[in-house]
Amino acid sequence: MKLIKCHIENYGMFSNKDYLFSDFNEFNLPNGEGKSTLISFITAMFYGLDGNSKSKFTERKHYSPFNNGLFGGNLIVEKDNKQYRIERFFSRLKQSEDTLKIYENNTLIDISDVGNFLFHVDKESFLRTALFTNEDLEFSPTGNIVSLLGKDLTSISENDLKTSLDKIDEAMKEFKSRGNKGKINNLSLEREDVINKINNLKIIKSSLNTKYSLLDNLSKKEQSFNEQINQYNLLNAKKEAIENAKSKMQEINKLTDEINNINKTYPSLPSEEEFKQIKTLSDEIYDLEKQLYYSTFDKGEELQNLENEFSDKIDFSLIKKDVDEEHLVSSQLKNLNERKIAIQNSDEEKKFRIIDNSQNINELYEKLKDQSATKALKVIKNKKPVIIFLLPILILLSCVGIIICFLMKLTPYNYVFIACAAILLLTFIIILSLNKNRNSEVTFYDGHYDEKEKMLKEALKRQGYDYDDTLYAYASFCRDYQLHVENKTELAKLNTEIESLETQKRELDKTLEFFFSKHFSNGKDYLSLYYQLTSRYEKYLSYSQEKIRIEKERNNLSDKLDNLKLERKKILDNHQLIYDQEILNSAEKAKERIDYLSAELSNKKEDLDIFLNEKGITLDEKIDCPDIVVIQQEFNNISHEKLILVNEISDYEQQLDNLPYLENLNRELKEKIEKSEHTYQLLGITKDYLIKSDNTLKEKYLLPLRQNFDSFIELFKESFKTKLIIDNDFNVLFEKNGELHPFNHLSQGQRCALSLCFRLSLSHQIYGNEFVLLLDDPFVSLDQKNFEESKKIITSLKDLQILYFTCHDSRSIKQK
Amino acid sequence: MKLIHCADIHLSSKINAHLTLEQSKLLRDEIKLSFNKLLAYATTNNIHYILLSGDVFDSDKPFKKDKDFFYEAIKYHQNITFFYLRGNHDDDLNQQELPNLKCFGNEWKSYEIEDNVVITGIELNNNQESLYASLNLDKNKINIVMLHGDIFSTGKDYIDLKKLSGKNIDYLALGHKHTYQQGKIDSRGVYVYPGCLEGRGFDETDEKGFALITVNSLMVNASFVPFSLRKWLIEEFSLSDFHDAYEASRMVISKLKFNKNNLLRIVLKGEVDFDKDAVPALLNNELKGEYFYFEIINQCQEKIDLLAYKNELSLRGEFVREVIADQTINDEDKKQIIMMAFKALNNQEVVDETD
Repeated sequence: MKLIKCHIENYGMFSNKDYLFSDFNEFNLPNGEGKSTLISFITAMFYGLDGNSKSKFTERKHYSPFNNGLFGGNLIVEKDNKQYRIERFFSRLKQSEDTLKIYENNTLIDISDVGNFLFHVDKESFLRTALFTNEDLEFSPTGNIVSLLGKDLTSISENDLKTSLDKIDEAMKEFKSRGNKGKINNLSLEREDVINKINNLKIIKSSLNTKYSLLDNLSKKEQSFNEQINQYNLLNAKKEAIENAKSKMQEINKLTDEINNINKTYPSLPSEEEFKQIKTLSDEIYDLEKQLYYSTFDKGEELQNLENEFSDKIDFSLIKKDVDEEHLVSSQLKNLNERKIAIQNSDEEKKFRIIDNSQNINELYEKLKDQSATKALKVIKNKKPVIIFLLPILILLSCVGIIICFLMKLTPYNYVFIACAAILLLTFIIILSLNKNRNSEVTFYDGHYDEKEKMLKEALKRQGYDYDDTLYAYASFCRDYQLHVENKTELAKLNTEIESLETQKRELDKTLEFFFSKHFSNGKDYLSLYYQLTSRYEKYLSYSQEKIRIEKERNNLSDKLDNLKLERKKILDNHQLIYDQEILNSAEKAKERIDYLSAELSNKKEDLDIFLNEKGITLDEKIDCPDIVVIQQEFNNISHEKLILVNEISDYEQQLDNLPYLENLNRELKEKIEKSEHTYQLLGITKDYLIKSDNTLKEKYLLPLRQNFDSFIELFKESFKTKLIIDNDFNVLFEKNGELHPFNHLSQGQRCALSLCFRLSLSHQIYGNEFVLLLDDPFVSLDQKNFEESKKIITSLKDLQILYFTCHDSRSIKQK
Repeated sequence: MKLIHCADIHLSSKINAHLTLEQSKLLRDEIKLSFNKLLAYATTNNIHYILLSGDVFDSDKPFKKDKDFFYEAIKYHQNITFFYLRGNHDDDLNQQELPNLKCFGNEWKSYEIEDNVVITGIELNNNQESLYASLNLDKNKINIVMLHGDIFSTGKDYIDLKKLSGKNIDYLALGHKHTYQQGKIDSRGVYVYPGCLEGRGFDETDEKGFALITVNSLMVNASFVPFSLRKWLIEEFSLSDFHDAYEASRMVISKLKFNKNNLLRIVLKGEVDFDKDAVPALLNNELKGEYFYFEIINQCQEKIDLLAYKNELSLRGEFVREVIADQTINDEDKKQIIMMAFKALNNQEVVDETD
């Protein structure tokens, strides 16, 4: 690539300035004449200007023209036989307002990154390779430069390797890192822990075997003590059995003694049957005696009295007749007297008993009657009895009952109601008809007979007929008076009858009184007396019969009794006993006792024999039992110890259940650790090989650079007098005392020369021969000798286009 | 008449798998459960004789609780007679004397039961030669002989089948092998290994159970009765034909028969051109809860065309060449190193969580 010419419209101090470029262009200008401005313009044409910054004094600000003209210009370059015109104009403020046009052979093309298009490097790389000043002595290439250096290789940047190595480091750290961290360490710790647990369990396991043995021993001991205890129990049981047998024997002896004692008292006792017989006989005797005792006639005195009373024969039928007759007469008398009293106590009689003014009243009435007056007929109705009003109501109720019964189908009851209704109706009719016949009829004269009427009224009133209506009063009087007359007649009759009956009664009373007085009976109720008498007579007969019967019975009982007593005596005599209930009871008890004791004795003897056989003992056997307390204590101790041991064993076994799992885990962890170690190792190898490969590659593409550098630096060998190398990281190192040191230790002049050689090497490597080198007074710090050498280098670069800027003649390089 | 022939119960044996503590304990307890089930089977099917051909316990010093369990089980089943031959794991037992427990010793011991059957057994000791010579059985009886040992490989527990030929054995009830096997001793008798009741690891993936012996006047027959609570399964899958982890995982899932009682090991093999760790991750999600236990052994290798890097001028190419050239590294490690580098260069996680 070559610069052809440029036109600066406005850029820094330049305005409307043109330059034409040749292969070697030297600009020998004093300070402030635009050397840096031109370099900046050229660079800006390729790469533009950075954006404006408020804090920094940027190139945009620096080279912004003071006038208001267009800030920028154009640059014409030639590359690959094509001409490119670059037109850029810059905004004073914003990069986004900058304009760019590129024309390829006068044809506008669309390229935004001109520098990259022309040089295939970024701005930084361009400046590090194309521009050389005395201030910037940066040696290191950019990543862009590095990638260009390896442009024949599959692209790899230094950052990719670093990232890869970081990745590997990161992975390795996962496995191992400082401070004993990392997966391997963790696994190892875990495994250590597992191994510890396994070891602990193995110890437990080994002690377990001991414990098993101990348990066996304890079990055997326990068994032995158990047997001793069993043996003791057997012996003890035997001993207890013997004691038991002995106590049984004692009981047997007691029974025997008691039986003997009883036999002494009662050498001969009746048998049970005989006792029963005696008892039966005694009971019978007792019953008979009781019967005999109660079989007496206890009514002797009474019988005697009755015999006295009925010593003479009595005709009871005759007496009865008289009694009945007397009773009838008395009844009749009573009835007559009652009727008499009833009549006398009737209301009507009472009126006339108190005052009998009837004659006066009749006379007064007659007087009234004689006067001419209208006959008035008045019928005085008799007062109706209350029953006449009740009966209809009852009849009505009966009818209602009939209806209800029919409706409710209470069949038997409806007949009852029908019957009642019929009876009530009949009664009503009869009473009604009777009442009707008792009405009085009175004839009055209606007229003026006040005075007589008044007198009549007064008289009636005195008689007890106090009514307003005189006629009614008189009619009532007439009615009652009629009744009074009738009563009087009846009374007379009654009296006659009463008298007759009384006479009859007196005679009868006399007879009966005489009769009954003989039989010690007094009173007027002869019927009752008669019944009493007959009753006593019957009693007399009954007592007589009873007396005979009882005497007969007593004779029988006595005979029986004698026989029974005889029989009993016979039995008692056989056993030299007399009949005494107490003695007999005692004998019977003794017999019972003996029988019981004998049975008991027999049972006990049998029990004892069985017991002795079962237990296999004899009464006189002697047993010695060991000290069970000691044995039991030992047994308890061993049992306790065994229990503890069993629990321990169980606990150990439970812990040991985890052992297989832990052993598996240990193996697993070991495998993991080995695998991790192996992986870690492989990572290390990978890393080493990556670095090695990288170095190898670098070696490949650094070689030309080194060769160039060596050829350039050779010219400065007098100045450096030391070996200079570029390492794989593009560091320039110098050798001193067998060691390599970074270039920073060199002087500025030396660094300037190094920088020149390095950059030239880079540029040559990257751009080849078609390139422009911008040198902005780069040799100010070189001494003359080094300047001459540098000049030689510059002048040797015939294939490069050079723009050399200097401000001093002594640093002029004249192109041949 | 029927008898049950079982062996190698290995009470409280450890389980060879990466189980959790709880799972491990559960499986070990299930061995006892299986034994109880066996006794229940005998009771239900009116079988009064059980032959235990050794290794009832797993250790020469079994736990007291295991011994207690065994003896309690025998005591509880008074209607069953147990013929107990100790095995190589049953030493030093301090056997209890129980009326329905018939044991054997260092010399041939016989027990005659009903139907003309005689059960004879001996516990192997160092004096192996004499045991064959001293075995004398009545040819008129139905002879069942119990031994615990290996008829296939010579060694301490070797049983020479040839020397048992012609000894009037109708049924040789063996123990020691954990897989059911049956074969002929001679023209008269057969030998049977009943296997064990429950598997204890992925090396015991075959069917587990016991042998049911049927005896009649003419012959003795044995049939295998599968009886295990759980199965140990191994399934291998090649993922070489798949280009996608998801597809590969779907294929694996489709070939599996889920069973929550079983234990499964999945082995993934082959060379794949996708992230080989993706398939186990997918399978882990899918299989959670479908098995009592499962594990995935990932033997897949990611495909790397190393030849492609032979001339590549890049860091990868240089790296691959450097690594391949190193004779001190084996091929598998080389692949792993290369994959790690590639992952690093691709800014991916260099190692998987499972690594």
